Amino acid sequence: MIQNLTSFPGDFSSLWPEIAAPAGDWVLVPNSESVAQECRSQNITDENITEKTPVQPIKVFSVRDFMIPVKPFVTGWNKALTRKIDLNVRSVAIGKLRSRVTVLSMPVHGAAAIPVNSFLFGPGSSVWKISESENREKTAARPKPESESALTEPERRELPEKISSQYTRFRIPPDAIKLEDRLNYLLQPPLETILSQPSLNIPFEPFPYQRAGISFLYSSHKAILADEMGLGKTMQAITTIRLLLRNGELRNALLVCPKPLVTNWIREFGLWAPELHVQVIEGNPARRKWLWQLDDIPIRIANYELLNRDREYYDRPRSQGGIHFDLVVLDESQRIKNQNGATSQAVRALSRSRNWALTGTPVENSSDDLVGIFEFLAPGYLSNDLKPAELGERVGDYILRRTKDKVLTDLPPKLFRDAELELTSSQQQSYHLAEEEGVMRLKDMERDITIQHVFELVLRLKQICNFDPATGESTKMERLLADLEEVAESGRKAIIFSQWVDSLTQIKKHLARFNPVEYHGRIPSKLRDGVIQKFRDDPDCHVILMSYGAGSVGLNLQFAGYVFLFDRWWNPAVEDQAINRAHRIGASGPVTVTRFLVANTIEEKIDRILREKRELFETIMSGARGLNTSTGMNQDEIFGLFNLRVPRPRAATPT
Amino acid sequence: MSLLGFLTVTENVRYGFIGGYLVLNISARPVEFHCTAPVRATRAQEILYGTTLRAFLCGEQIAPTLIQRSKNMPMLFLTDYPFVLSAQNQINAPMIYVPQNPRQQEIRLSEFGMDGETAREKVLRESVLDADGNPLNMTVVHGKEFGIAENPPQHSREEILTWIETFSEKMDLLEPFERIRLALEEAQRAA
Repeated sequence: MIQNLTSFPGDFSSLWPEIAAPAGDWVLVPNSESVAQECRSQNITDENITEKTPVQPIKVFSVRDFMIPVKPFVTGWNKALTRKIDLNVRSVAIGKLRSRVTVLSMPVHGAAAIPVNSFLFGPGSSVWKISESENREKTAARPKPESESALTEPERRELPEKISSQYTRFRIPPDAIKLEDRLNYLLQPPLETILSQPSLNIPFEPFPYQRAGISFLYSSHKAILADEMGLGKTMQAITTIRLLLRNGELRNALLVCPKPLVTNWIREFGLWAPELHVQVIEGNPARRKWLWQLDDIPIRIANYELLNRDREYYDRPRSQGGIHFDLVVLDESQRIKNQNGATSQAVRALSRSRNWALTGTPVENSSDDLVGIFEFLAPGYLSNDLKPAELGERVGDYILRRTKDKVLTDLPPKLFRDAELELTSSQQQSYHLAEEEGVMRLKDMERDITIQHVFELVLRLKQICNFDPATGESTKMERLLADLEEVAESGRKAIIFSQWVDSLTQIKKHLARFNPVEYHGRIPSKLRDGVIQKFRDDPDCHVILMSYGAGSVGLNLQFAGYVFLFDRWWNPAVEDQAINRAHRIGASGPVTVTRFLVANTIEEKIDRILREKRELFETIMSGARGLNTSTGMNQDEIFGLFNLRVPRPRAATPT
Repeated sequence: MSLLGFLTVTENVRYGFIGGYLVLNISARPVEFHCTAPVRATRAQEILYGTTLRAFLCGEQIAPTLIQRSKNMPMLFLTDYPFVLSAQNQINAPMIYVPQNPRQQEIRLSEFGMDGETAREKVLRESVLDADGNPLNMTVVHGKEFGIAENPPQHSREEILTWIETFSEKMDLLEPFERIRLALEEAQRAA
């Protein structure tokens, strides 16, 4: 037995000079039972030794408690074990005690070194170099937790302290396996620190969810940023590109977007990354070829149509002038949902290291849309035969979707008004006539009937709900005029959406006093920016007439406080996009959305189906797992509008 | 180049002590990171060092080992773990104590098996002691508390305070410790 008379080695010499040992040595005081008894009888504890020492009873412990280091030599363990322990033995008296004790002292300088793992940054980059762990061979000499390896995963997770942070950190990519790669992301400064650097000069402080989006994109080689429209996908993408460029992780990026949105992207780059040179691929073929081949262009912007035409300029071996992009970003990536389409094939032909897709509607009609986008992001990763649950499971790490109601609690409200109207008498007459004739014709077709035939009838009836083809009467127009009077009087602006350009043209005739402008497929692209500018800047221009096709994506019209859906689109996602032109960050007040709906018509039936679908979509997407297989109308539903049955599965679903 | 060294130790009842050392440049970007394997005190060490066990293991064993592995010498060392302060005796740059909020320290100590009451007392008693066990003089800079370890080599207290002021304007000097703990957690998970 050994008795420890002090646990204060630092004070040893002054208190117990008799048994002083060189600093750093372990001093063991072998017990004689008499010493122990004497100590107890005289009530000697550490408290008596020094006032500094906390009250602590004398401890008794076994020699086995001491781990005497044995250093193996090249001659092997046997030699090491036969080596004499470097032990100094002295017999000394202690204080006023009659008993003497024997002091054993042994050096501890040779104790096993602590193994250290080191990670070094290369100069000017965030690439890690893991250094050799010089002490690794000594690990065996260190005491280890007894049951470390037997810990279950939950226990392991529980062991380190819980860290809750006010900071946004770079996300560790799901495919980062090596520890040094994972630490690389963890040890970067938080986005709050990076974005606050004066040299970045960020014009507006990003919202926390936007920082999370930047963190998500920054570390992603394949990603879909699927935020609801208006949450700032553009800003998140631009800021991430900027950070990647500044860190040297990116040299050139290509952004592909629908043609009408090119100017919007240029404007946003000017705002969020003014120092970056952005080159739009445009002009005649010779100029475009030259622009594709230019070196040292950090950002190129191309539109989808052009990408298809210019494929010969970029899709070739690098030795023959082919181009490799460090990053390709697809805006409104639902454009490539059809895997067999020319656009999809053109973007997939781009040589690239990173892929991001930006879309508010990753699943517009069916889960195949998502598979189509992933064919660009990670070819072969998904397939059309995957069940929705499996699909959701697989894509979970690669999709980030936030909705306004979750993240923008202080965004002005979006107020929906369903304007339920009755057809005028002449509209009613035309409607019933068209419906009776149409249904009769469809029934007569029996097995020859296709979805296109049904679809034509639906369109015909919807058009009558807008305007009576015989008289031009319109119950919607009457209501719209009344509402617009109020809008104009309050100095506000309104966006009116319709499925048909013809309807928009007819509407325009009635709205002359509101100085309407038009933005749809028949307006040449080069004039469209001027249209938006006039709508924004001209105080007398209260109305913009937009088609869903041209005006539903990418435009920032947050100065408009009113949105009218003159007729309804087939797919709630497209309607949402349209509404969110106005209801987005920067909206100064509530956005009032008026949805025109004519009772007892095809519009009411479609609305009921879409309403059910929307509820289902929202339920599934909010769960973040498992994607809905369909949000538009399918074939059964379209036939069902007229109580018809599908003869055989052969036609495509409209979008 | 102006570098800052952030030293901390996490302790856990089953793993023991794990040290982490992060060297940052002035832009808060990492230059080096070093971490130890888990270190457990032997029974003998527990007995021999008693209440000074943490100061011995963290300040005299773990911290110097980590610093020795570093390729760069920071102008300032910072720690949020008071027991690391005893490393001051072995390094040639000032060591600054940046206290986490008391509640957080209490949680950390609780994880080492102390009940809330003991942990709270420990925070009050020990978190403001320097390497020699003397009370540490705490100074408030930009609304945050800092303690300068006694006898900083070569530099006057005023000089050190100016550095703290400069750096704390550029970054939150507590934030890097969060990075270290996340990295240690990740390293342990990978082990």
